[in-house]
Amino acid sequence: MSFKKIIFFFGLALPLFSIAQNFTVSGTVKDGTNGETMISAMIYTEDGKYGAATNVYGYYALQLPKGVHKLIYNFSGYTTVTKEIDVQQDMKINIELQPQAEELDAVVVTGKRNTDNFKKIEMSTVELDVKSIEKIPALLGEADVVKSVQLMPGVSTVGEGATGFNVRGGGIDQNLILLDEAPVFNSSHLFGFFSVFNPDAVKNVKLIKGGIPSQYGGRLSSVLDIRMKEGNSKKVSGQGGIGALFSRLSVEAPLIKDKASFIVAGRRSYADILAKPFLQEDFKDAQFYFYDLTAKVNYDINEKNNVFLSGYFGRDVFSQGFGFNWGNATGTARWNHIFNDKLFLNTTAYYSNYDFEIGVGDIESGGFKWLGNIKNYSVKPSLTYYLNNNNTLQFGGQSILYEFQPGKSEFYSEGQKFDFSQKDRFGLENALYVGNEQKVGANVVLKYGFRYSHYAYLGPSKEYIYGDRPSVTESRELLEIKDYENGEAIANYFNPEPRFAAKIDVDSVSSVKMSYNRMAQYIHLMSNTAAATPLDFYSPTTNNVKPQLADQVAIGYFRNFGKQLNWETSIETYYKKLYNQIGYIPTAELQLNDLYEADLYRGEGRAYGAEFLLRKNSGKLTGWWSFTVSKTQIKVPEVNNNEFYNARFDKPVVSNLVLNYEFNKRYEASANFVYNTGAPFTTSSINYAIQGVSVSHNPANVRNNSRVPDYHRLDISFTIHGKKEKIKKIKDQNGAKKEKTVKKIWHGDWVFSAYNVYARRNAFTVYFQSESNEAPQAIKYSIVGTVIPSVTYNFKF
Amino acid sequence: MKNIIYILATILLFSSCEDPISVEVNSGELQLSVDAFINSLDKSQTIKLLSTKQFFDEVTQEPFRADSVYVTDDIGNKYIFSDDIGNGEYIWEDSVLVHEGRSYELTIKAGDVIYSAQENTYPVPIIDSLNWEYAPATIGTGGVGGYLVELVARDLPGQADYYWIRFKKNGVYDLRKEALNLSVDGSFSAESQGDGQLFIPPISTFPMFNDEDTLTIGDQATYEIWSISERTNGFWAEVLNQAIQGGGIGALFATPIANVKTNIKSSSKTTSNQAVGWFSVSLVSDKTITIYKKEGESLSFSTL
Repeated sequence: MSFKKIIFFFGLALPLFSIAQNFTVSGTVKDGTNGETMISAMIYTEDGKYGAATNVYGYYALQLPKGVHKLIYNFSGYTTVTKEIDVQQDMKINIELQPQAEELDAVVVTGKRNTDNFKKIEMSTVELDVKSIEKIPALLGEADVVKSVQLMPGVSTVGEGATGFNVRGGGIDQNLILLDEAPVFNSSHLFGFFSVFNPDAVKNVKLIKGGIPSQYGGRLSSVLDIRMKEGNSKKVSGQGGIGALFSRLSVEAPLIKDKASFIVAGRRSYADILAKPFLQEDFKDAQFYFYDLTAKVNYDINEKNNVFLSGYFGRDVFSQGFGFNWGNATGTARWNHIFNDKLFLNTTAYYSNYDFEIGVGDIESGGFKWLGNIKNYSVKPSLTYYLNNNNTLQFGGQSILYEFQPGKSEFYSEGQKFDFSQKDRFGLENALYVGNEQKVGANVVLKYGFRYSHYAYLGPSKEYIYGDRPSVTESRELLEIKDYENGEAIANYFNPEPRFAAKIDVDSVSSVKMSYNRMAQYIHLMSNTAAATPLDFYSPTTNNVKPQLADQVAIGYFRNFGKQLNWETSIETYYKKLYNQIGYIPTAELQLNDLYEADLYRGEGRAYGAEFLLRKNSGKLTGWWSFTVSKTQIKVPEVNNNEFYNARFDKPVVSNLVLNYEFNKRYEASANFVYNTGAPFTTSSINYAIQGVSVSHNPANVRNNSRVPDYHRLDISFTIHGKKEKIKKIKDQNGAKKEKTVKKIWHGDWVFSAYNVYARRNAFTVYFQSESNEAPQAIKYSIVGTVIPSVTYNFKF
Repeated sequence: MKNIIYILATILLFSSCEDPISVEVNSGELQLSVDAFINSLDKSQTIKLLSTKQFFDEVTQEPFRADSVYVTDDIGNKYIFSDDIGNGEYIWEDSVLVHEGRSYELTIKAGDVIYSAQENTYPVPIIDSLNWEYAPATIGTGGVGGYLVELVARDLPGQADYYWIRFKKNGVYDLRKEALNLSVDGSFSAESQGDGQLFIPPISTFPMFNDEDTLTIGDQATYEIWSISERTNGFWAEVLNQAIQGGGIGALFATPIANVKTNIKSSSKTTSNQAVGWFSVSLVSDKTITIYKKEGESLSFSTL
């Protein structure tokens, strides 16, 4: 072979060699004070050419060419670490970051990088860390995860007393709420006043409203992904609070220093005990309390394997003559395995249960008992493959076995038991997904994926076959009930769910983002009341109830302002179409009725809107203003003359202003002002009497044609931070008296707050009261009719 | 400190409230309202034909002028109702017109429009007896000591029977929505296995909601069991569904208000020529007792 040819081939092969000269630098980023892994920490080379972020387990993998590089590890609120490395082979670099000293005014309180707004591919996403959540004044001075999320654009509720929230016009059952990967079905205590998530145990909260990545599925409108802390792996620590309504305590400690740790956090309310001496005779035996316990244990087996075990158990109890309680229980086991630095596996297995129980008396004295629950068991392997710097692949699957017990009920009379139970139902949901996040050039990032989901309605559920309705407002006629064997499929559904998102940098401070997603949902909350209640049950998809589907497109412009880019703005518009939405006949019997499917209508929905956010992340004054204009409508052939009508949670205008001012290290104040348009409701236009009973009527047959008065409310709070340091008198080597500043082991804060400062009686519903022979009077019912002040003492050790 | 706890605890538990407000309601088209519940109880039967009224109007419903109102049965009889006073109450009083086994049709003619409705008769069980006993102040007697009355009647076996149970105290019908008492086979629903069984409480219990409802010596309690069709039962269920939209914590559980159905058909298609209301035919069993002191019973009343 001639010399020239050898050079030629060598020259051709050279680029291959240089590609093969990329190595993987990977590792974990942790908080140096307590060993907590850090989610979405940034790692990049000084020249800005290569970069990556840590995943939800704090793990990152970056492809770097052979040679010397300066790596920068960065997370807002923490001191940046710079490391010079010589990459000659795959390397493992684990880093601990230290929180910044608090005197710096430039501290970014929200824990987000200043450029996250326009640099991250994610759009339609709100990410909050616990620091931001703690700064928002809330009911009775208690920081609350879900209440904070509700202050973000695109999120609303039907009012105080609603157990869930609505995202971009979706029902409350259309949010996939995950606590360490296990779904939570009822995210609130006390009819929506507090969420079930103890902020002391929470590390990170992310709400995804659109452009939902392919690894998530099963609900149409959003994903609320909540990650718990692992627990301090360096020393014993804890925090808690004593408040007017409830108290909380969390303790975390290492089991094996830097390798294994646990956290246990509990809360219990006691307003009923305190109020006992002052209640009216009728309520003397009333009990009303809630409690919850969140716990987690984790163990870093070795460099390549971690295991986690976490769980949640909580309950609301109300009794006054009769007893009524409800709650969630979840248990999650997870195993992280790193195959070869580029391939990261997380396998999760979880159990989740939501149940309610209402009852009084027993067989001897007479009475009844009624309970219902939904259980699910799931296995979820998910893999991330860091192919190269421009492509990160995600793939995996999930299988969920559902057991629905819609209503088990017994009625006791004269020593006899009468059973009115509904039959149990079963379903199996499976999914496989694959997705890729790809960088194209310097200014474009694409995230595309495909999820394929399958659902089977299984025996031993029964199959109910119905015919037509005798008239538009009546139940469908039952034709046949068929029995099935255990595990036999009664109905199968397959749904392809494409996902796509793109980010295009316009310039160095702004970007345009767009997304499309198709979602499928296989479980449905049966609720036809003004607000969903803890007694509403979940129905599986069956031969009659079809899977709900949604298509959403969104496009937005994101830009930061200011010298330090600390003013974030974004404007995002979305359009969503929903299919197989559920409506109900006027006299639908949803409780204790095996034939409830005959009372359902099927329709479609549409939701569109524009969300605007202005946010300031650093300085003495921080906060945000979120403003959303939107429309949410439903069309069901049998209702409202087959025309689109306003959904119960349609809120044309929602405005939330949240402000926080730090006077100095010790004093801090915050305020929030919320405004939203009143919820729609249905009014009649005429009435008449039959056999002395007044009946109201609407000849035009419209639905949700009126609105309750608008909602607005101001909350304020004032915090006095306890001193974190104290002066200790010591003697130095020479015996001379000196003063030394040491950190206190224990410090506390006092929080004074007032909810609904100007005591507005915001309408929850409006109903009409009519005495015979008198004109009806509209009455507005408000859940909170006064200002609610409170004092809380929070402590940390 | 104690005061603060008191204020905080009670504020949260009892801070909800109700206020009257004014709400704009669009006006609606007025239509014919038909109140035609004919029965086998006596010769005099009344069919009320009135106009519906705007929701917030104080005035009572205006009478509806029909050209002719009559009921026919399936064996060729025609019963003509007439409104001599002009108040919308069309009356027949010559003979009992509802008989077991027959089916009936109501016809109302007004100008070019013909309204009509059909209904069958269904059997009704006899009332065996009414029992009563004295009870001291409990929730069942409205908080004041008084008499509880129970119906003893057995459902007719073999088919689902729908009953509307009506009460009279001292000859006056209890027209309250809370007293609207519907039953299937003397029980709650067709699945409740009440077929052929005795009527169960609370369906068999005389209504007692407040102190004024208490029955004392000398009071007359009347039970009437009206047999109705399944559709009439559905009509009342829809009326009740509207009637229970209320306040208090129940506001959380309210369902959207919906129009109640009608079995009155119109020959016209326009909205103003449609009718609302209901035509029902019932066989009725009734029994009345007058409360008297039973032997060996001491008479004492306690009040709260």
